[in-house]
Amino acid sequence: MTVALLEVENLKTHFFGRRGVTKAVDGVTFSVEKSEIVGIVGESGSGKSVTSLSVLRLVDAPGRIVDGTIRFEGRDLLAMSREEMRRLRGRRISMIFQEPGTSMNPVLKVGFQIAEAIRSHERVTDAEARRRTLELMDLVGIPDAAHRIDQYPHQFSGGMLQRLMIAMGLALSPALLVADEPVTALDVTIQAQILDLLRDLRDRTEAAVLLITHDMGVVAETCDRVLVMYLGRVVEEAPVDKLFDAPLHPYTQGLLGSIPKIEEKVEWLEAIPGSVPSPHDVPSGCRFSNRCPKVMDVCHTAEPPLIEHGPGHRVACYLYTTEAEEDRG
Amino acid sequence: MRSCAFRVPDPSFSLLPVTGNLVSHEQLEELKALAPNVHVVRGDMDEACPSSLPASAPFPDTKVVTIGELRLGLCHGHQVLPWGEAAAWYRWLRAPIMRLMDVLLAFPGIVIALTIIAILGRGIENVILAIAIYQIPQFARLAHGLALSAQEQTYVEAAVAGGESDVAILSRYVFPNIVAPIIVQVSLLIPGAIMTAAGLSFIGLGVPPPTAEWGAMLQLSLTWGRLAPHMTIFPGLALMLVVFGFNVLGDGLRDALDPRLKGRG
Repeated sequence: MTVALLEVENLKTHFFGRRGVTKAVDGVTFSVEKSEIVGIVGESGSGKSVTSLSVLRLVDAPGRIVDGTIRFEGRDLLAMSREEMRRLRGRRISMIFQEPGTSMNPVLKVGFQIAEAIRSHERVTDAEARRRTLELMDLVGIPDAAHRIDQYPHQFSGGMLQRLMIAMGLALSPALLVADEPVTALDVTIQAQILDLLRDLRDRTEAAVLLITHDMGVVAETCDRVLVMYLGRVVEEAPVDKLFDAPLHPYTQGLLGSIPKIEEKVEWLEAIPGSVPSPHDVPSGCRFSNRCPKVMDVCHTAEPPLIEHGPGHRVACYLYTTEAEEDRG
Repeated sequence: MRSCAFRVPDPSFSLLPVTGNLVSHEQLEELKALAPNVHVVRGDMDEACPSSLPASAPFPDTKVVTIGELRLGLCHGHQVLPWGEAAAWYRWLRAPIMRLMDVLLAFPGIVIALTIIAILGRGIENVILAIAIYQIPQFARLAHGLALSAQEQTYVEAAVAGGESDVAILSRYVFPNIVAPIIVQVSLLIPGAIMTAAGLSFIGLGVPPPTAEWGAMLQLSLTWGRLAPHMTIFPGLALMLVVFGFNVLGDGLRDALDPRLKGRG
């Protein structure tokens, strides 16, 4: 098997606050292949954003990556110096953020900022930077780029700004684009356009995308593979069609069950009982045990490992452990 | 050649200055003979008594001090702002720099200025330096506070994620976003600088004669003012107008420097 583009193993990112240690990410393992779109879904506080920031080593104090390895293109990111890491960011891995409106410097022209992304890593003439900026703006579908290149961010709509952010992210054809909730702040029609754009750009530039979202609809539309996170751990990992056809983990089932279906008329939507526990106060055993409808005794005592259940489909739940053993045996 | 008397230690000669302004050399000699305890300073009218010639020096050296302070201000701006920004960006620099600024701030500005003048002596350059130094902490604190909030913005995080170097982030992402309030602050501190310069001259520690200075003029007018009120009115009016003018300028700059207000009716 060839080496994956990004391999994250047993990643633990903890925050050392006044009220004790918050284990935002607590043993996450996943990989992203070349030109693959991998989605990470989960509720607020599940650790999906911290996971994405950890990949770029952008976790600020009091947060710290305490354990695990992150290998990108075969190199260990956690062993890199600050300067090596800086040269990697933007060039090989780039990131786009949730709020396009605040992700751009309000006092500089957009063209300058995209050109700056190129200039920060390559020596180019002004004319060359401008030509490439125009190309990028065309690539992400900004109409009348030649005119808009000299405008300020406040003169663009949210959707257009997110296109510009993507252009900045792709300026140096990175191998991996980390997108942290790229469409959450946009309205639905624009969301569809941006997601189409991401898929289209993936096909053309062969950049892999790590897409962080809480929206199952976004996952279904865009991703090739999905990780479901709950309280800092991956509870299920599957190809996107498998996840929607046959979700295994009770949490995933609960998430999908809470989405209204167009073919059924129901009075009440199912909801997962209770709410996400505080990360200071994680239940012992399986983290989902206090809300799980199929909870068993073993769930309270030990944490289920993430085990293979079908090709590319892994789940961390005791409901499937014996089954899986029989399959292998 | 006409001369003028500067100080009248004996109150019984309080009328003398009035004539002193106009007396000829010969008359002065007579007066000296009459009253030997009068301290007479002789000199060329244009140099020694600028206060009596407001028209010939409509913009006395307050202007020089202001321009000098501004130049030094911008220059220490170039040095201080990065320190303020750096103090915000690098946590380990925060305590040493900002506590030093707190120490400076703990003294009233005029005391620091006086100390510096006492060490360096009088003179335009030293007045400029004294004023510039006592205004450093105000800029450093402003830059620090603004940078603290600016660097939390998503676009700074995005710049870090884009692999920008620290220098590029501080100069192209943080600095342009905090520069407008700083420029406004400069325009608001200029009146303060003018007032301090005038104050130093007023107590005799500012720009030394023969250079014309509004504060020095006002000081002179203390003894002369009752009989020659124009000596108080015109330097005072000039000071007031300049200070007011810079405040209006500061207001205008604040509106002009906000890119979001650009191009809107």
